[in-house]
Amino acid sequence: MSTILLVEDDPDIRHLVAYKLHKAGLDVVGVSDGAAALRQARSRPPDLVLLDVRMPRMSGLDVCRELRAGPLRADVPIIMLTARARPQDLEQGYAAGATDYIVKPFSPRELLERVESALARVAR
Amino acid sequence: MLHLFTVVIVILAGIVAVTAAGIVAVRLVRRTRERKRAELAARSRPALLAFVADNGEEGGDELVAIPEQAWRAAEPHALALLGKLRGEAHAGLVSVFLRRGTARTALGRLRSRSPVVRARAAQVLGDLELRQAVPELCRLLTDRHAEVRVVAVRSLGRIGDPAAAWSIIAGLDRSDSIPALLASHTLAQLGAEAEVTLSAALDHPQARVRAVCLDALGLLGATGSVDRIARLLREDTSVDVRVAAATNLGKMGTRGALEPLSAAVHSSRPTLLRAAAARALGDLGSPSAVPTLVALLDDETYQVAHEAAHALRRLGPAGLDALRDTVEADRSRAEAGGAGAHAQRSTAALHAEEALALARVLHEERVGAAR
Amino acid sequence: MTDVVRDVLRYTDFAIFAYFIALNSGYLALIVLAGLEFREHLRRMPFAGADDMFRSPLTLPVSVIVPAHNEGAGIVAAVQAMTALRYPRYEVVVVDDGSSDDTFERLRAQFDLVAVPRVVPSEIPYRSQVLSVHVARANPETLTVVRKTNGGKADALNVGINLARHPLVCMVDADSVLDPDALLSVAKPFGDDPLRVAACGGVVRIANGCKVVGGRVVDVRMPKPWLLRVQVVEYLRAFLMGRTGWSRLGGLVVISGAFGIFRRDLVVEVGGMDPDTIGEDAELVVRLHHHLRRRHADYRVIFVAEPVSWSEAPSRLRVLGRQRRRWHRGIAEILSKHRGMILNPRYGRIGLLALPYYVLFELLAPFVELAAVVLLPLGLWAGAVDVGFAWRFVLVAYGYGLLVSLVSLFIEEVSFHRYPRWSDIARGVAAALVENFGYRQVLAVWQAWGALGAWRGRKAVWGVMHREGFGGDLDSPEMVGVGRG
Repeated sequence: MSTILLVEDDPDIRHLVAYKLHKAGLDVVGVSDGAAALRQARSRPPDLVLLDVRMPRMSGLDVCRELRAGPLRADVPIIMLTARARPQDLEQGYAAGATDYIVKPFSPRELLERVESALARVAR
Repeated sequence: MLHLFTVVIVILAGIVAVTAAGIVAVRLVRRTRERKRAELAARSRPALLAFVADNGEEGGDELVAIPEQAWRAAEPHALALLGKLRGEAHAGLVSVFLRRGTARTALGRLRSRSPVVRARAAQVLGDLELRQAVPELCRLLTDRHAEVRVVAVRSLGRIGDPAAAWSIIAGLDRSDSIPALLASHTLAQLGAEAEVTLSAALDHPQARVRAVCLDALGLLGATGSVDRIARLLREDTSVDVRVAAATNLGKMGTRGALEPLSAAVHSSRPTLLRAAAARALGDLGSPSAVPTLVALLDDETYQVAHEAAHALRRLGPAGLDALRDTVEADRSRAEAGGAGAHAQRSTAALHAEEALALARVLHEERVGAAR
Repeated sequence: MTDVVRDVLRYTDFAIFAYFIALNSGYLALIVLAGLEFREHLRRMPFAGADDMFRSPLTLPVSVIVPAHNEGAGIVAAVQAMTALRYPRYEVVVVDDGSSDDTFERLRAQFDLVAVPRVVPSEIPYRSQVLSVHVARANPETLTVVRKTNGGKADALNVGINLARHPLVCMVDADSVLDPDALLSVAKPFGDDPLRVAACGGVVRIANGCKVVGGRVVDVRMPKPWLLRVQVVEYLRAFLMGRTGWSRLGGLVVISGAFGIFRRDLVVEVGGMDPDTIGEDAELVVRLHHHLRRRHADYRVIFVAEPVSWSEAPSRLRVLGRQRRRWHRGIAEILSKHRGMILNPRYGRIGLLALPYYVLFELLAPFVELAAVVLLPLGLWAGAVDVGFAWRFVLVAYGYGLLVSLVSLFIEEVSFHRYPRWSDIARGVAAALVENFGYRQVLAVWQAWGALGAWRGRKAVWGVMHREGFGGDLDSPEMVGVGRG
């Protein structure tokens, strides 16, 4: 079973996404801030990371950079969740090491599809 | 006299005691109410999340069946969820609200006497993205209270019905106008269909209206209106409108914008306009703008020279080469003058160096990411 | 002892009594106004549209200017927190005002700063020399650090404003801890009323005793020492309630330097911060009023009560004394500098209401307080007033003050209730009581001293100013707004 690390400070979205992915047979660990995400990624490396861009304390971009710099294998997909998707925002995200973007507001179905296809790409 | 003092002291002591007790009472009441509310909301929360996560396919009936009191506790939460969702999940949740009669109630409350109630109702209708509410919300754009008008505009943007465009524009044309930036964003949210209306409004006698419509067209990327916008850039009587025209021509990135923008940086124009036009030339991304921008580097106003240097940086290789040439030319001039490395540098070279330095930092970042 | 002296003493004592009643009634009126304002504010929260503002691509970008002088200990955490605020587009400009410690080194190491040869415009004149400008390698457009020779806080702010690229400038103390939504709330009025809003101040609360993690206040608590608890009550009454009340009246003349936001073009228009004034933050606001009123502009200066910025308050008596002397000296200097506005109908509510209030109930209050401490016993001794009057006088005057503080606590409990523990309430009420025994009197001595300093030193001060710089662990000088209870 694949493990998903979900980093999101909004409890609604965290619960919603966790529920959705869990139901699809994925193992989800939800955390609410960057520091916890880094700790979790070190103790139990995930197969995919879902990362909110805007979080208090440590921004998603910084978390992304740190994950790439340390605990995460290079081929583990990082999907960013963001409310703003101007080209320069996306570019910043890719520069920080993100592999894909999901724009908020989002559709739970689309989110699951993106996660599954990202996992499939890695498996291949 | 002394007796009066004594009475006052007793009254004071009484009020002090009551206030202190009041603090405790307020906290007790609030805590109890919050706990009750949280309990009620928690009961419907799992059902709500499950329903949404399953794309609103099943569980809708259960949500509709939740008793009114419990739903009222869960409602703020459900409305907040609406703003975070798209697609079937969103539609499903909206249908629950409709079946519960939320929209009907809100439509009724738009005519409430309290501005707070009106504004809240308008907000709910926007959250639900209810198209039927558009005429009523448009009516609210002339509300006596500014805050109600603001909420109505935002909700119209959420709903995104282009039919609202004229009402919003009319709302700008009054002494107590709706906020300009909000209006621009909302008009752009109405989508490409609103472009005709926006383009027509560029002839509006009120400068604020023209500026707002320019910003909205820029957000929409309405390249069809480039000629009309260029005309405003050349001819408009208001500097603000001309600045907005320049900025938004830059955003559109079409070749037709090159000529009017190049004319707008001429030294006879107001500084604000020249700086905006220089910046827009950088946004446009056409290397043909390089000579015009290079000529601005030694401009005596800081803003114009600064914008020109950074516009050249954003133009990519052609612009960066021009910046390097400027620095180089300055260096050889200094050497020819025999003053050595510490000679007085030209403004153009200083601005060019600044832009080049930033380009280097930005470039390094990209190289780092590619690794 | 002649009868004349006795009569004079008696009438003076009565006058002082009347003054106390008027003073506290003024406070109470402001606090009630604040209560009304909070009520409206809270009812509007559900449709205030903060999220929409965060999502809009047109939200006005902000330059956050952070002057820093020897802030090595906390600067990294502060800047990290300030670069992670919830706001769509903003930059942070740190101005290192000739620090002799490792302020800059720490920033350089943490944010991987690279030097860039920025051309520094001088739209606002500044006196010091800019040594170098640096940007963060990963985010060159969001974090700028300027090094300059020491020139004082106002001068540092002026350099920061010159370098600021966005239409709004937000001035923040390096030791301020901002709530994540602070910038969004304080910039919101500019979006809602773009044609009128000129400046907006945010509330400052006391960080001592609160739990701060990663540059965020996560658990609000009453501090332990009574000296700080008294200040917590004082800040609630003066900053939160007093300024909200003035804002509602359209007479706000003080925006704290610890957290305030301005339209950049207007700040440039009036010439930036005045480096020769001690209370440069308040002076700027008064100068803006002065300028805009003369231009007959339709404008507003607003105060936002939530969310907030948290500041460290002095925990030692000596430091507190120095702070309050400076604040009061600031009031005296500003009122003297802009005395032409006082009671001048041309300046509307500022000239006719706000500034006269500051002269009467802020500037003069410590003198009256001290007069009461001296003259009442004197009157008693001379037999001008009897014991029965004296103790009732004291009870009514101080009791009214206590009531004003309690009403502040009550309104805080109804509206924001930031202190979650029951014990904090008890401590707040106790602090409101304790304040009357010693604190007020000592405060009055400091304040009077500060005001006298301004008057005595005026001639010298105006020419070559003896600059006190940042004053070590002091926060910025500012007026207390509603001084004592």
